[in-house]
Amino acid sequence: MVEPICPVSAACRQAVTRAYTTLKESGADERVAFEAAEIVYAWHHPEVPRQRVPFVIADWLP
Amino acid sequence: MTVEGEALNEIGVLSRIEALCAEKGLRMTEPRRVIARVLSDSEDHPDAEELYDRVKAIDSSISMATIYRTMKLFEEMSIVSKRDFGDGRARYEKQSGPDDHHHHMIDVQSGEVIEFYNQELEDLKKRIANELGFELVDHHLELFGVRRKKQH
Repeated sequence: MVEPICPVSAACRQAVTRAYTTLKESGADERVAFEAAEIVYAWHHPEVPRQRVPFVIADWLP
Repeated sequence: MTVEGEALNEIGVLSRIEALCAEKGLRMTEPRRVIARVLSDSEDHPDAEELYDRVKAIDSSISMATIYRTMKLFEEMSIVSKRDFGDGRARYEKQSGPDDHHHHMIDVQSGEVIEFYNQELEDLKKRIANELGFELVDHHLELFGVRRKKQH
């Protein structure tokens, strides 16, 4: 399956980066922040297989 | 993960995967070099999270995103092959001290993160641990939700 193309301005992408960045800035562990970003993405795109999610959001996060 | 190809280093200058990267002409950044070395040294088949833990012990600035991007790149270049990662995800601990203890409410729609502390929740967790025969030493909690629509 091909993942949806989400531009920088897409709500899902903004939510993913916002959750990750906010958690990191608040001192959260990297894994906690990354998993939260995965959950946010999965909520926006339930059609994407869960095991694909980290590979998709990895391109959006530092 | 398994390495495809034979070890190329004989005197330990390059790890097996670094040697494969060089053979395939992949530019080696420092994070890629660290990840390659950790993978080469792994006698098991670590998943991304296990790999992250091992990499972090060497270079804590390397993120999960870098791990996944690098794994994807190594796989696309046939430097490693992906095995069954499984669906379950290991749990982990947040590194916060007792003075700044808090939890997170995360709006999945907007990504907004709200920190909160609730004494009743803290007491409940201690009580549950106690009833199960444990002294609570650490925990973390992230709640995920969508904002309720306002009633007019």
